[in-house]
Amino acid sequence: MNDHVETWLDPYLDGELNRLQQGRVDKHLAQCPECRKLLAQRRALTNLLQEMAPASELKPVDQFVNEVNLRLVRRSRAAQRQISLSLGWQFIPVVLLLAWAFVLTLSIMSNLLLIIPEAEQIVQQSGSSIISISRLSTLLGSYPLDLTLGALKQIGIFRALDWNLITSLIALASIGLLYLGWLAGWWAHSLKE
Amino acid sequence: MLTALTTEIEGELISRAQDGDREAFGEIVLHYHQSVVNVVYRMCGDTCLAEDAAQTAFLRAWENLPKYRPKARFRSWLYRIAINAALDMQRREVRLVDLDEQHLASTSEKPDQIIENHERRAHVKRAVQALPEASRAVLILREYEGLSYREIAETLDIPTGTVMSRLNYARSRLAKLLSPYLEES
Repeated sequence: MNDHVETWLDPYLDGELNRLQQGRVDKHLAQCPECRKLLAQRRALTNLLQEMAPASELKPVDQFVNEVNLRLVRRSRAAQRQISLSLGWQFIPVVLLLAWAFVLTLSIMSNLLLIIPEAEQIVQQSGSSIISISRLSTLLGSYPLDLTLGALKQIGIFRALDWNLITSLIALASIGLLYLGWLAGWWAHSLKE
Repeated sequence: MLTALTTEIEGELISRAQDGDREAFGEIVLHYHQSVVNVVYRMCGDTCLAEDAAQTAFLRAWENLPKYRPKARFRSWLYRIAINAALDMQRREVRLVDLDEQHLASTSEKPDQIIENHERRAHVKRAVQALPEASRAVLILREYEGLSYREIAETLDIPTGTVMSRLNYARSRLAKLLSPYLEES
């Protein structure tokens, strides 16, 4: 070992090296006065630091414990809030699952509407095969969605596509994204803890 | 210093405290009081602040105890809370009272020696306080609490390599700042 071992001196002094590393440092120290001087300086520093007295004039430990104990009253509220938050977090996937079930039901219902004679008339009136969610939303009174879909219909992009499938996929992708967001949030929360 | 407290007993006390048993938590406070006060004292350099910070640390520990998982050592977990409490307290309170005066009055050394020793201690204290927070925390946990590099890494949630580099930085900086005293010895 020709190079100096400055970087190894701290772990050497603190007993953090393995036997092999320690042997190498010992060997180097035996032939290097510079590193020996540095090691002696480190030892002197440790001794000097020990002169810094611990905290003195402290209140009696029983008094300290009692004072801490007196201030512990709010723990139950904090813990309950923590539990509520934790439960809230855990319920998010359930809510997302319910949302997914809702979208699926909506999709099935919209398909069923195509079978209903009255619904078919609505389809014919609209002059397009684009139906499902958009028509169902009209029936449910959700005008903004209908207007948006109407605009898209005018553009004609989705004419050749199965709109029902697209809306279902978009809804599922949104739910999937929300779930991923929840996972990321949960991960960040765990890291913070 | 810490009295013997087996892992088993400590685990039981923690478990009981997690369930809201204040008596068990009192035992934990009693056991860790001195070491937590010393860590925060050396971090912030003031006894009054240290006691406040130590109390804050224990209160935070109590609040967060339900979230504590035994995968981390309790001491490491508690020290991390204590260090953060000390730094928070120090940032809030700018005042720094040099309590070495009390040490001065209680010693039986010769007057010249008293002054010399007092000056040296004050100088050491100032030098430690002048270190950046991150390096200071590593130095204190190593020099005064005798934690291994692995335990320090666990406490501060940093890699062992970072512990080594911060410790090296802290000691090198102190060696420079305190060189007159090191040459004497």
